Amino acid sequence: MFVIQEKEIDLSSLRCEMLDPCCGALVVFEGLVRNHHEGRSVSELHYAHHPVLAQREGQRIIDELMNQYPITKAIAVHRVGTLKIGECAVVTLTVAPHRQAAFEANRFLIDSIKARVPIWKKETYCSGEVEWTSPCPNCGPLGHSHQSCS
Amino acid sequence: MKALILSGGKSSRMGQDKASLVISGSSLLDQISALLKPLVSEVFLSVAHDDQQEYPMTPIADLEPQPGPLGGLQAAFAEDANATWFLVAVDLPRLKTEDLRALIDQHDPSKDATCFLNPLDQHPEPLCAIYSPSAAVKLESFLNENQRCARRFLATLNRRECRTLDPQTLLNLNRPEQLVELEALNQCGSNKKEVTVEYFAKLSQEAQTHCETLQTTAATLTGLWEEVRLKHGFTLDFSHIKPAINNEFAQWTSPLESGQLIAFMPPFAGG
Repeated sequence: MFVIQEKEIDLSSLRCEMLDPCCGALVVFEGLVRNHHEGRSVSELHYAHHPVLAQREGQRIIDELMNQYPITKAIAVHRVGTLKIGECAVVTLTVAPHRQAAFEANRFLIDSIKARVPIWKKETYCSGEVEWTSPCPNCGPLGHSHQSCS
Repeated sequence: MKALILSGGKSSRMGQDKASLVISGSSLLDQISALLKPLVSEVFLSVAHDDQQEYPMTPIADLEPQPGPLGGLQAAFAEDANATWFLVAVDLPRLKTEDLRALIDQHDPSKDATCFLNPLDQHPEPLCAIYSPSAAVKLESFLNENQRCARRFLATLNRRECRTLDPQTLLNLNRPEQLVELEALNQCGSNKKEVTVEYFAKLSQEAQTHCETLQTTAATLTGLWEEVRLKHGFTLDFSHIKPAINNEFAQWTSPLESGQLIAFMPPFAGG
């Protein structure tokens, strides 16, 4: 299931939806709004999306995930609209009988969402400037370590 | 009047030398020289300073390595400083005899240059333009200031500006996708279509609109992007944009049809 919503993410009810007696592993990733970007202080974020394509592409990723990994269930929720520092912008949950598949599928899910779903981020800086941010050019679907671009 | 064809060398984005690209049975170089020959006293080909190849017309070698398109004009004036030079890039495959003749007919020898205004962004087009001998001195001092931009040079000249009849006349070939656009235009002609275009994130900010309905003669998404990029002065390169047709991701070579909903999307930044 892939959901785009304006309202706050209710993680505990999502977690309840995922629980399954045959599953020994639940992996939850939460993407939070950070107070800095490339050395500048951020005061709030605004997320925009392509209303039809974002939903469609997100669901396609979930479908691919279910075919590629031995997992039982996957849910991703992405927020749009204006978010404050510390709020949860995206959450991905994967549940599987064993932890390896749950971890790997979760990683694939969040990386694919970032790379393929038409969602954009406008940052408001503490200086008052407002900018649409570009994604980190090194962030491919496989991810990378972020020593230099934090 | 003499003509100088700029062959542009090997194009990294196109993946091959543009002059030898064959479209509708003949190379771009053969097509443009055939158009020019009846209109001017002699047609020359601008080549790199160390180029030893044989050509079907007289070559004029650049005076130095990698000087850019203005280096071709500089070498032409070194060859004949008293001539009026018609400078034409080889990769303008939509140019027709009527366009070249119109520019020659409207040429005013009292001006440094006679040029087209690019119909897509209203800027003077330097690589299909006539340069009077008076431009030679100005070119020398421009190059001496280490400036290389042909558009900027043309902007410094006093010039006569002419309009093209077809908005696609100055369609420039830089990428394989533009070849598909060109072939589609050659096959189906420049038909008018009405499409609705949506812009997202940074593009909607730069266009100052989220959505607009446009009349276009472009044949594929590539041609439409080129039109809106110049119209709105988009800063992002084509390679960073993802297009969609009717709410589904599409290829740049997808054909345009009236009534389509087109989306141009900058790099995604969710998460």
